[in-house]
Order: sequence, then C-alpha cells, then structure tokens
Amino acid sequence: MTDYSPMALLRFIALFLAQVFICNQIHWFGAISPMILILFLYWTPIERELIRSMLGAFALGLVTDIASDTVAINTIALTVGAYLRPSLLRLSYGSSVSFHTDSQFSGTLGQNLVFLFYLVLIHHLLFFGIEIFDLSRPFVILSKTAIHLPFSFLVVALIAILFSSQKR
Amino acid sequence: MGRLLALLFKWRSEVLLVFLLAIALGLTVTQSSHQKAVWLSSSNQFLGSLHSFKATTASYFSFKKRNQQLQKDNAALRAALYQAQFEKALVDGSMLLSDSLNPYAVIPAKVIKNSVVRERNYLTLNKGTQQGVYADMGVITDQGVVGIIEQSSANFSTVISLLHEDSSINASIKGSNYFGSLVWNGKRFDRCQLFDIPKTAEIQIGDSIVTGGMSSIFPPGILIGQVSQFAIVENSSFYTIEVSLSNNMANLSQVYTIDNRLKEERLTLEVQSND
Repeated sequence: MTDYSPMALLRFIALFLAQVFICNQIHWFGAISPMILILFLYWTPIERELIRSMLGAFALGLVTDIASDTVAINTIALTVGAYLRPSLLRLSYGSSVSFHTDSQFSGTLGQNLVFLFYLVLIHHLLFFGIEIFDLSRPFVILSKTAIHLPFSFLVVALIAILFSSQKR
Repeated sequence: MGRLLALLFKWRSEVLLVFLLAIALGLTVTQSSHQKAVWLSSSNQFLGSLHSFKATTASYFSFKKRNQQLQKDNAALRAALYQAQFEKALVDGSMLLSDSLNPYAVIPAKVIKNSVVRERNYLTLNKGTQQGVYADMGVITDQGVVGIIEQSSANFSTVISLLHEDSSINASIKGSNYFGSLVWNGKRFDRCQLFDIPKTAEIQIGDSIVTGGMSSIFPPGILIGQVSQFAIVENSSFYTIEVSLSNNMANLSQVYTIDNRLKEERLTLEVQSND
C-alpha cells in the first residue's frame, strides 16, 4: 500500500482532465453535465489519512473550479465529501470497514454502488446548495440534485465498474 | 499552551475542514457576483431585522424629541413646496407638478444602523426595493447630505456614508459654478475635504458647500456643510478645503432617499456623447 501517491496523482490528473474537457462539454437535455470528480474519493484507499484525503479533494476541486469557472463550488463539495467519507464508508460497508487493509474494492458490487451513491448524493446536494446559495429555495436545490443525480451516478458507476473489473 | 495544541491536534480534521471551507467560501463569495449578491442580501436581511428590532425598542425612549424634529422637517418641506408651487404658478399659471418637471422622488426612511468610527462607514435604512429604494439613490436629511445607497434588499438598504474612504460626491461652493470632489480622509467624523476647486474661486470661511449640478444622484444645491479651513497646496492650482459637515453623522435618525427619475436618460445620453 505504499505505492498510492503516484496512483493518486494519476487519478487526480485523469479526473480533472475528464471533468473539464469531456464532462463539462456534455449537455444532456441542454443542461445536464455529469460530474465525475467524486470518483477521486471513491478510489481513495480506505486507510488513507483523513487529512491527506481532504487536502487532495480540496486541490482537485480547486483546480477544476478554476478551469470550469465554478468559483470553489466543487472545492467545497469535495472537501466536505472527503470529511464525511469515513462515515459513509461505515454506513455502506458496515463497521468492519475500519479493519480493512485494502481499498473498498474488496466490498460487494452492491456495497460499492451504495457507497458511490452516497458520495454522489452528498456532492450534488452541496454543489447545487452552494451554486444557488439560498436556503429559502430548498425545492430548487433538491430538484436540481434530483435531475442531475441519476445521470452523474450512471456515469460514475459505469466508470467505477469498468476500472474495478480491469483491476481485478 | 500545550493543552491547546493537544486539543487542536485532536480535532485537526475538523480544524482543517473549517479552514479549507473558509477559503473556499471566501473565494465563492468574493469571486461570484451571484453568491456575493445573495450573501450581502442575506446578511442585510438578517442584520437589518436585528437592528430594526433594536432601533424600534430604542425609539420609544426618544419619541418626543423625534416628533419635534419631524414637525420641523415637515414645516420646512411644506414651505419649500409652497414656494415652488407659487413660483411655478407665476411662470405658467399651473399649480400641477408633472414627473418631467419634478424629476426627484423623495422617500422617507429611518436609520436603523450607523457607524462613524471605521474607515468605511455604512448606514442601514429600514426601506428597500419593496418601498422603491434602490442602489445609487441619494440619501439626505433636512440638515444635508448623508450618502448614497449601495445595496437594497426587499426591506432594507445599506448606504455608503460620506464618511467612507471610497465616497466621492460632486460638490460646489454655494452661489458659484466651481465644482469639486468631496471626499473623506478618515480622520474626523464631522469633517470632509473638498478638492479640485481652482484657486481663482473666491472662498471665505463659513461659505456653504452644496451638491453640484454635475451629480446625477443629488439635486443641485443640497447643503453639505460649511468651509471651516482652506489652503492652496504649494505648486498647485487648486484649493484644499476642509468642510464642516452640516449633519451630525453620528446622530442620524430620519432620512430621505432621493430618486432621480431622469438619471438613466441623462447617463445614457452622456455615454453616447462620450462615444
């Protein structure tokens, strides 16, 4: 497990490029762009120290926001996602997750998808919450999340399955 | 100290989260006009409600004094109105004032928050867009100029005071056509500085300083203050004039917002001419 830093850097760069140059150019139904940055947290090894994980998420969010002109919205969503990640892991895989020494790919497909769903949900709620920035309009935040969530989840789930099977 | 460091280390993830979120939220609020507007509007709304409650409570203790002040205001305004109607009637025989002849709308408002001790002082008024108060409207009292509306939410507005380091108001010496810029150097809350008046102008201590006709926000001739000192800087062709403000900026209560209905038309024409 010592060889994670180059791998994490590679994922960082790949996700950044994919989000900015591919996903941001997709506009399904005129408005829906899949958001796949959350895969960074999905692929982060379980035993990765929380602080490193948060700093990595912050950096990825920030560079993507700069390139996408989304003024730190992804940064906030990813940083909070990284902070909540241990709780989401326990929620998805059970309390025994803290004893794992491998990444979350050791879970079942269902557990992986549930974990991924939680991550995408948290990311989208925060993303649209900050984008709209008005708590008096919760319906707008929830409806935008509900519209974008299935598409983003479909894309990240496909990517996650594709790359996890390759790994296996 | 050691215990504090141990505590910080124990909660290092939370401390880091707050730190990173503060950076990100700061970027969001300062870099995005939408988020900035919502942030200011929300803070306006929240603080406005708070200060409104405080001001309402405090106003019970000064009813008598404020009533007397309002009666004086009303008397002065009625006198001015009658005079204007009389003069107009003399000119064209009509007593009606149409919008085009009377381009300034006046909306009374109450100051619910004020500051004079900072370098950038703001006031908060209890009127907003729902009452017809918008950004870039002038704010005066019966004593003189107060400032310019910066932001308005539905029911509150913030005003850039004369006592704001970025404030600059077109002003002139009463009875002359010399115009200058009135600014504040941040030192005394009862003094502002008037620049750009050429040394050919005749000035005396005690001369009245009023709003100039070049301003699209204020009607010309509204009192700002009196000349308390003046000097010509060496090798300069302009006066530096110290103006004693006619308003007591630390004790403002009832104000009037002024909307120049012809401002857009005037600014559009001036922009076209400059192009």
